[in-house]
Amino acid sequence: MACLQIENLSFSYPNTQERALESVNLEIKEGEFVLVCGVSGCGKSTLLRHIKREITPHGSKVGTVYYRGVEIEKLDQRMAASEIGFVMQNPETQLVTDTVWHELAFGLENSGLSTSEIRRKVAEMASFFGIDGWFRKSVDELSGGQKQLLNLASVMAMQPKLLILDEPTAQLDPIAAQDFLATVAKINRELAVTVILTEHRLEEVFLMADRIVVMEKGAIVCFDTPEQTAKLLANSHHKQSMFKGLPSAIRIYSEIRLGNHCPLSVRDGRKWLAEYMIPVEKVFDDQVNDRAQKQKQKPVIAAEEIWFKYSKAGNDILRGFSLKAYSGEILCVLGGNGTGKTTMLGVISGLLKQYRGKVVINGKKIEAFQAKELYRNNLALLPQNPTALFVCDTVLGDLEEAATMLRLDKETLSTEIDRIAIELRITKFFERHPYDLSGGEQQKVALAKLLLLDPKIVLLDEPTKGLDAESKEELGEILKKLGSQDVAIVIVTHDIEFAAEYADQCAMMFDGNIVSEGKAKEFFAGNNFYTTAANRMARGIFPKAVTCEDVIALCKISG
Amino acid sequence: MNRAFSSLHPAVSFVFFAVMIVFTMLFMQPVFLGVTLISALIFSFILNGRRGVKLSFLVYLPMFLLIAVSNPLFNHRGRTTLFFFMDNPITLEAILYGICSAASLIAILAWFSCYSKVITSDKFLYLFAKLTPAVALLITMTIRMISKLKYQLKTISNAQHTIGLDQRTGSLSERVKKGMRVISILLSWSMEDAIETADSMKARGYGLKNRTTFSLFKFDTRDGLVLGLISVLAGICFAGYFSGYGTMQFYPSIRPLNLSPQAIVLYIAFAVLALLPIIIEVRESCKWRAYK
Repeated sequence: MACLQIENLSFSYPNTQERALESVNLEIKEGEFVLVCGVSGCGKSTLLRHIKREITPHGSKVGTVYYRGVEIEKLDQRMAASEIGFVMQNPETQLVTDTVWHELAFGLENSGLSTSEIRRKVAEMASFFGIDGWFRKSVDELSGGQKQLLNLASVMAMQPKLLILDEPTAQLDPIAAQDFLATVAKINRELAVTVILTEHRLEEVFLMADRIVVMEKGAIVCFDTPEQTAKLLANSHHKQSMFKGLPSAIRIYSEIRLGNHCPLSVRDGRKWLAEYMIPVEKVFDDQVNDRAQKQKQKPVIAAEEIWFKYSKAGNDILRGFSLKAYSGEILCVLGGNGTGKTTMLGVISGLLKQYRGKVVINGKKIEAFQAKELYRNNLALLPQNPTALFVCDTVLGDLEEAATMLRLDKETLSTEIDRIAIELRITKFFERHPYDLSGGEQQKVALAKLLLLDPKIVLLDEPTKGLDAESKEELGEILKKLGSQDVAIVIVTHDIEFAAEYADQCAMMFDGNIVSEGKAKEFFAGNNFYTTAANRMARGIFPKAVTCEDVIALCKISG
Repeated sequence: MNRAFSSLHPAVSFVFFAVMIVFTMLFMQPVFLGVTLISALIFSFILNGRRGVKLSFLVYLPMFLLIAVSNPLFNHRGRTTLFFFMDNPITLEAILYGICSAASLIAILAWFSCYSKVITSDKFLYLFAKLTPAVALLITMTIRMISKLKYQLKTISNAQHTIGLDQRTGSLSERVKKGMRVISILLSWSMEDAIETADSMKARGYGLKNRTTFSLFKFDTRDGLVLGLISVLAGICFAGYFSGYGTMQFYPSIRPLNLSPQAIVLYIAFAVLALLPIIIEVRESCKWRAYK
């Protein structure tokens, strides 16, 4: 018997004509690991929520979902709650209680188990997940990755047979995301729990899945093994927008198409390249922005030997940190968690005060600025979570409100808003609520709000967090355009692929300091581990190729 | 810090504090009050360390003196006049009564300070959850919510700061306006989050019938023994109180201290009860020393 069977499921949200799901048919076997992918708004989340009865969205629905042969509406309440587990995107909001042990026990309390039973199940789960060390901690002390692991553990404590995860790693940094996915794979492998997962970052999960569902506009386009799906996606003539999110090996293969076997992993891709290609040592120097020439200009941001700590007794977060940013240049600062990246942005933007060293913005010390001067026509910071910027019920209202607070006059105001909105292509969301937009759209609206201030320096904190490949590309293009208008852009990010593609200059931060810096392509070509998948794949064959496009271009020359 | 007495089951420590505080309020007799005051102070030193000593010298001592002095100044009952102060008689009885009531008050305060160290919020919640599980869950969620709100408020205010709309600058009316913006963002953000939290609760079966309440506390034999001992001793002391041993006549003249065998037994029982946490602590630290 199939674990899950969906028959002719169609669904539309209230007050919309458009169908969020279009006659979906799906059969998932016991113990399978299924990956659902597609661009934002393709109906992935809507589909997943239809499998979990308690949180099914309201709207008009046709068709049925069977869990182990029983219609999902007819399942026993207790069974439905415990046997189908659901983990959502945001690690913060899913936590209900204040302590780790209570969070683990929460679902079991709801099911009405006795204390001794709960004790046993909680203990089992805590040991399985290796969280017995922080069992008695308060949830506030946990990192984002730990929080999400706790969410997973507290769902697993109810011993589900089917585990649904809706973009669980979108808010995590790459290392925490890998940890999390490894745990999900372990659950699937060792406990034989059926897993249905959606993801944007496909580089790793693509290989983990038994079968992959590809969705487009609410319908299933393809449901097959990774190899077959890769082949299908690679061969399809209309390049889907989700194509950008596929693992590098597949993207490269789809352009070259030598051999019958589509490589999936970096290892396979390397083998494949070695088989068909002759090594080329070509250096990519398509960068118009030459740092040497820039150096003659004055830097717009010059941070010199900054030392910073949060309290007198605390550890130093920044240790003699120096950085220069020039106008018209996109600078990406990369680095792991806790290396002081976000703190660095805080110091540069005047939120935090260093105790030694100086920050010079446009030739003037940052302390010498009045708050209004510093943030008007000068410097703006896009926070990690754009929600912190939205005030009004509609996007347009929000932009207008910001403009009024900034005391722009009516005429310039509306022309400015229109200009920026067209540039960022957000005019179509004007009447929608900012909260109803997808992550990428929110990011753009927030950026539009900043651009109203006409900044000369834009600082961005993890702008690609939780974005799908298409939104990332769009964001990258916007930033490039800003760069060409002589705006200095400093991005703090974990996202190597994004930096490789769009940055002019890259710097790596470690232990409160910049340890290496260079032109983006040279920087990544010089790194061994901390580099793009395409570069790792082509290492030794095309040592200077960093992005998929580079590899493809060289393949065309060499092959 | 994890103390021997604190590791007892919350119900046991709660009963202990309840009994001690009630007795301290009921008894108005120098022996009982002395015992309760001294043991409360020692226990508070053990729990709070140096801070406990500082607290008692800076707060308890001045308070003690104030009450002990003010009673004879305003109360002139009693036969034994010692001297006159501003034409008012100061009597021995009033002085002693003042000292006793000061001791009673300080002892209650000291017991409460110990209570707050031992019965932490999670223990209190556990005890409370037995009565009203729903309210206890609500409190737990509120604690989580408050720390989340604090974090969000900081994030919002930082984000607004970097677009020049920070509530910390500008004229008063501007500040109020900007402050309102921050609050309004906070409200809509936290409400949006609350929807997700509600989904997460529903997804884990919140709302099913017969919800149980889990806790990490286990009632073991040691808890049983200590609770039994507390009950027996408290029973003896209550019996003593109802047969009139708990209070003493101060006015018009002080009766001599009751030293009958029954009274002596009662004093010892009360002393053992009051010193119980200290005995437990000392026993445990002796054991640790022996292990080293």
